[in-house]
Amino acid sequence: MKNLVILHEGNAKPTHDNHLIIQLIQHLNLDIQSIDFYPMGRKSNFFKLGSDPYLLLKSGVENKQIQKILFIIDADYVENDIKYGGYENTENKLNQIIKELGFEKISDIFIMCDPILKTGYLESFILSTIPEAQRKCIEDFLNCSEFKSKENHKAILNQIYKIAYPQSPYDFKHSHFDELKEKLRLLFENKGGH
Amino acid sequence: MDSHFLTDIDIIDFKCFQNFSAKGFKRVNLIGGKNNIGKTAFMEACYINVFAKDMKSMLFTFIDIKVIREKANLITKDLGVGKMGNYLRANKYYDVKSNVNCQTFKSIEKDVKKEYHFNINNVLTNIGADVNIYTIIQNTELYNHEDGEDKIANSNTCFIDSFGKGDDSLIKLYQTIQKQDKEHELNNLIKKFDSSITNFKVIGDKPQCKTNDKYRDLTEFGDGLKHYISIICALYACKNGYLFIDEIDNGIYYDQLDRLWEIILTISKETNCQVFATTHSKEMIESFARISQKLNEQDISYTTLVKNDKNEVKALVQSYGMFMYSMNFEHEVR
Repeated sequence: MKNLVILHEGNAKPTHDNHLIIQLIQHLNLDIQSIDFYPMGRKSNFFKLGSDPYLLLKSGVENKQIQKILFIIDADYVENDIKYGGYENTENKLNQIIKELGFEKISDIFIMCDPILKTGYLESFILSTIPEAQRKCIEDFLNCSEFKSKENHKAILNQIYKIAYPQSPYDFKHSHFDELKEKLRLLFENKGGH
Repeated sequence: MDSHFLTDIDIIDFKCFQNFSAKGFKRVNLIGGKNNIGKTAFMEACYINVFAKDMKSMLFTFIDIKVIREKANLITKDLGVGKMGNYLRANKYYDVKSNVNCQTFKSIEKDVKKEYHFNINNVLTNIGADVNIYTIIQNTELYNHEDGEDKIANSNTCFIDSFGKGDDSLIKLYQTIQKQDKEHELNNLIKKFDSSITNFKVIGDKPQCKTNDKYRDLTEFGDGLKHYISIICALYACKNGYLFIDEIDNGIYYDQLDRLWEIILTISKETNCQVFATTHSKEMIESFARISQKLNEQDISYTTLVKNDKNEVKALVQSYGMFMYSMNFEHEVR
């Protein structure tokens, strides 16, 4: 059991979410081997107290094996989910669950969204880091298309992004990455060595 | 969950354990953790807890665990009562409570003599400083170690150390196979382990395997085969009981691990035997996960023993769901 944990959305080990996080950790020259990634599947799983990943985390935290946890979760849209959708709901509900788990002192949260609009998900965050003209072009395409569901929307956006920027997947120098960089640095700071 | 299974245990004081608590054990339980963390000591604590129903059986287990530990250093038949007294002295405290039994043992120095205090399920027995513990040992079947071995073999609790069972114990275990008419099943499983072995028998006082039309002593074969046969025989012998296997993968080639787990998971279900096993091997842990999933056998647990920031030993007990989650996402579980 490693003493640093990142929880993220997605089901498989290599998800688009943790791909970006892994790349950024490596970009920051932090030790990727110190991290256990906990894929949580759908966003709603973050709010299930008795789930297997939370039972594992609780056991690790109670026995002082896990020192710090970073929750990375999509904001989504309040109009799609009145309970958990939107930045504010996500933040409030996640803080509530962290409190119920007893993880307040060792946890931090990063909510994936367009940092200006405070809505969306990982793809909205990435889109916010590319030049204005290209971003508008992609946004217009998505708005005009009939692909309304989150998963379709995300898949298309990913594909366009890959075609448009095959050589440089992420612009880590963009200021929108600063908050996530800081949270990752804090996660690795003073890490112990069980 | 069968009512006789040990599910929860509090080890208040025993060897490296102080205020240790673990909950959530199932029918088949694998224990991992680093060297010297206390995996064997944990199994010893459980073994004593489920076996010791009175003072005599508790004395027996104290001596037995020490005999097992000292196996490499002695010829068991040379055990004398004096040596057994030394082994008993090796245990100063044993304070363990589980859903099965509650026992406390203390040995207290009084001048040059010792007092022994037993509390087994609220039955108190004190052996005063004026009583020679050796007399107690001599007056029980403990004095004769062969009888002791008999007692183990005839009970439905068995502790297999990393060397596997010796010939005498294995023969006793094999007798339970014979009583249950399971010789054919055992032979089939041995053939799967090594296709050149066509039969297993006890001839005289020696377990033997037939290969190339000739019977040879089991000791002439590798340790893995003896360990494998010991485990299968013990699974049948421990019907409605408990089987403890230390360093389960010892001597077993990696391509036999899945088969071994399939045998353990299947026979333990048939005989209603609770199994605890220890390992260091990542391959063994992966095999345990793979076969549990393949058989959809959820009555299992995986426990990692760890040390916390105060250097205390703690248990991370994972249920089937937690274990599968950890393995699927390649978390470090050893």
